[in-house]
Amino acid sequence: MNRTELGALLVAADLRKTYGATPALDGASIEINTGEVVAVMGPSGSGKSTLLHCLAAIVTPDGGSVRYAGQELSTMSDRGRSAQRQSDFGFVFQFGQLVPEPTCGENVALPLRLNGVRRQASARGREWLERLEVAELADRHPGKVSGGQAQRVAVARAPAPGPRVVFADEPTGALDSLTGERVMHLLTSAARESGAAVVLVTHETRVAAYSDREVVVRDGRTPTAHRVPAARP
Amino acid sequence: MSHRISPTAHRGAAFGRVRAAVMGARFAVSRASWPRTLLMVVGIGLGTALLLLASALPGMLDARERRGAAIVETASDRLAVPGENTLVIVYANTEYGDRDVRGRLVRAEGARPPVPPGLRALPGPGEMAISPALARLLEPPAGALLRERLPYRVVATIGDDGLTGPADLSYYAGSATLTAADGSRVDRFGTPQASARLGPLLTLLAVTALVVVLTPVAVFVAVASRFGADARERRLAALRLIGADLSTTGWIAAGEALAAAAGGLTAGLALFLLGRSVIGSVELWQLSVFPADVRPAPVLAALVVTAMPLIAVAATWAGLRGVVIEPLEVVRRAPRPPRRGWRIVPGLTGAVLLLTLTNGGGTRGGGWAPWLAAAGIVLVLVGLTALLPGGVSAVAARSGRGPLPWLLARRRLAADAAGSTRLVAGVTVAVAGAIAVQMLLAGLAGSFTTQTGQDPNRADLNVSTTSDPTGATALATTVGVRSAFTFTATSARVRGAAGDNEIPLVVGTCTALREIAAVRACTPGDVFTVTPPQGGPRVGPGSVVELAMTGRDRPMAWTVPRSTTEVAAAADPVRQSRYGLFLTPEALGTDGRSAAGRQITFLRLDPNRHDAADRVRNAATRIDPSASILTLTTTRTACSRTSAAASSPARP
Repeated sequence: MNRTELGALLVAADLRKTYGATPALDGASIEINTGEVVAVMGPSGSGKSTLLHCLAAIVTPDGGSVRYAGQELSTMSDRGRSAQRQSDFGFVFQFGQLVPEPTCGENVALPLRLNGVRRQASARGREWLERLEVAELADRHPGKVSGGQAQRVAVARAPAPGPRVVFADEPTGALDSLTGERVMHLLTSAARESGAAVVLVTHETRVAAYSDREVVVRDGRTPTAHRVPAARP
Repeated sequence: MSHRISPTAHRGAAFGRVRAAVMGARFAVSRASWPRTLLMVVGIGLGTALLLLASALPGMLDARERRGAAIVETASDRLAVPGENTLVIVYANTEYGDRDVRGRLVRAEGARPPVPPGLRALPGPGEMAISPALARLLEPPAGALLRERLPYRVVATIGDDGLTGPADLSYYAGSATLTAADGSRVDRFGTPQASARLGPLLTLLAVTALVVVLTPVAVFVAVASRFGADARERRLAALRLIGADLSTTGWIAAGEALAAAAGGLTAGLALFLLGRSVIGSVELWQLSVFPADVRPAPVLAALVVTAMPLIAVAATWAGLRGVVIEPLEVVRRAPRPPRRGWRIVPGLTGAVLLLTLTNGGGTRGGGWAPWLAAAGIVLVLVGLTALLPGGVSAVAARSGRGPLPWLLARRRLAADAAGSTRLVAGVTVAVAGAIAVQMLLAGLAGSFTTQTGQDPNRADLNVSTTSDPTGATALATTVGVRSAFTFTATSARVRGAAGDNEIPLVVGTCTALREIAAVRACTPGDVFTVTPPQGGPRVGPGSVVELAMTGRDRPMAWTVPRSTTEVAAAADPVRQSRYGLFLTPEALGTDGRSAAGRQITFLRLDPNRHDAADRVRNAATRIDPSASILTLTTTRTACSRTSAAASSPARP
């Protein structure tokens, strides 16, 4: 099935965001279709992470709109945006996303538990840890595992509640190239398998190669030129 | 990812809060949170234990008063004659070392005598019932001297009902010879309970002590609730990323605090119960408490159990007010412009309050004054904690340059000293409070301590016994006695046309008379008179008086000799001035008889013999089981007592 036929799931138009006097986004626009993997690229400080944060309802833009499944996210209350993140979005960031107190297994089950799912949460967590080949980490705490292992746990957590979009911000930034590639493979495989879209922020073409198309951000703007990578690893 | 699991958000906001709190509680007990949770548990546990103890204080006081009232012997004015239910009782208190021993000699006059609380039956002649603490004290070798003084056969142990505390040293000894003339006739034990209200100064002390103990605990509980706040905020930020809204993060934090509070309450309760179980073996200033009497007031205990979790949650939420927790980031709110003006208000108000209550205002007038003083102390202490962070910030901002660690510390303190100074504030309050309690204790000691006027340089002990010709020698030759003088104090009857008069009479050696009157030249056979300054019956040379003599049923007529010399009065070592006739024994004749009366002996002891006083007490008790023995001191506190019958049984 052609991915564009599935329709735009997430549409951002003319996004503007400034931090103090520094503009981070200056009219950026993007469309994410159901099930596609989109790499957001750009030089450091170009505004790609801010764009991802706006798309993921983490940050409210100063101007422009973000529509997800027909709903305007930019004007939504904190509670609404949180509910959206909880039910429909998954996250894989460079660091900081795992909660240190629960075990890795409990971390994977956390989004489900937050959503009030109790009985199936642990089973689902174990299932995704096995799929990400880190089942042996289930009873260990995030502080007791390596960076690569922690990132795999984070990747396992992102799809566990069954999100429709996974946001990944430099998911391999703290990993060696071999581990990074493995993590990317697992992340995109999991997404493609379940039909979730992935918004992938990276500055590495090697990582971007896992996407269906790239969007370049420069000085807070998104030039219209989108391209489909020539080949996938 | 398409395999979605249905959320349960439809169950409602309340369910969501409970779920979030339960999640927070799980975080609190996870391995990574243990250090922080443990600190909170310790802080809240200490606070809980102390508050429970404080809430048990009124009950402890009341129980002690009740127990004390229950063992008071009660005599009725109607008891002029022995009855089936009467008992003769003589106070036989004594001292052993620096411990007071409560003693009663008893003799049943009928078949149904009253039995003291804690006993099933009265001890018979030669028998005694003793308290458990006295039983331990009597164990040899430490108690050998006391055992010698209490040579009765132990037949029973006084139960808890007959004691005010487990460390009470108490005994009831049976006698076959006591008469009502020796002591008192009683027909029951127990008197209506006196009010357990504390005096103003004690109230002030109790309130201040409580504040001093509880304020640092309150500060510590508040600070403990914020231990590891940075880690908690990072955790909450991570949870925000995966969909926790601000309300949920608040409830997760509350759940963490509640879990720690629950642990703290449990620990505090355990600590309180542990303390209660061992409190029976604790004795302070000869006061002890039965564990059964340490029962928190239900309402206060419920208040403690409710307040502790609320304080923990409130402190946690107050801590979260200073930050904005966003997904993956924690933004600290810019500190508000310093409003230090109000911080001076509590301390200043407290200081003004205390100043207005100076000159004893806090201890007199009863009622409101102690509470105002306590409020003043509380305000000063709270004012200190309020002023400290601002003060530290101001000092840090104005302090000079220094090495890098100093620079970093200075910057941190100048930016926000509150967090760093909270613990210090707790310590400051504790120290300031301790000083306040110390000052109060000093004041308390001063108001309860009186100058006795006694002269310990002239004598260490004053012994009063019934007349016994060999008694003086027995006391004077006791091991550890360095010197002694004895005289007999009695009275002589002077018959006159207008009626009979009693005139005080003292019989003693020249040495003894020189100690109690301004006698200079004295030879055996001399007689002196001392005229009281306020006047009164006088006898002059040639007057005939009647004297009660030992070994004689009828008084002996005796004529005051013409050689009688008038001398001035002089205080004895216990500051008592005596008046009347002062005779040397030879003045009464040489038939070996002596005047009947109280035999007063003053003794100086060898300071190197630590048991000398107890040896004298033993000797005195052998002479007269109800002997009165006074240790001479320059000061005396209101609650201390002599070993003699200091008071009589209560009369309703």
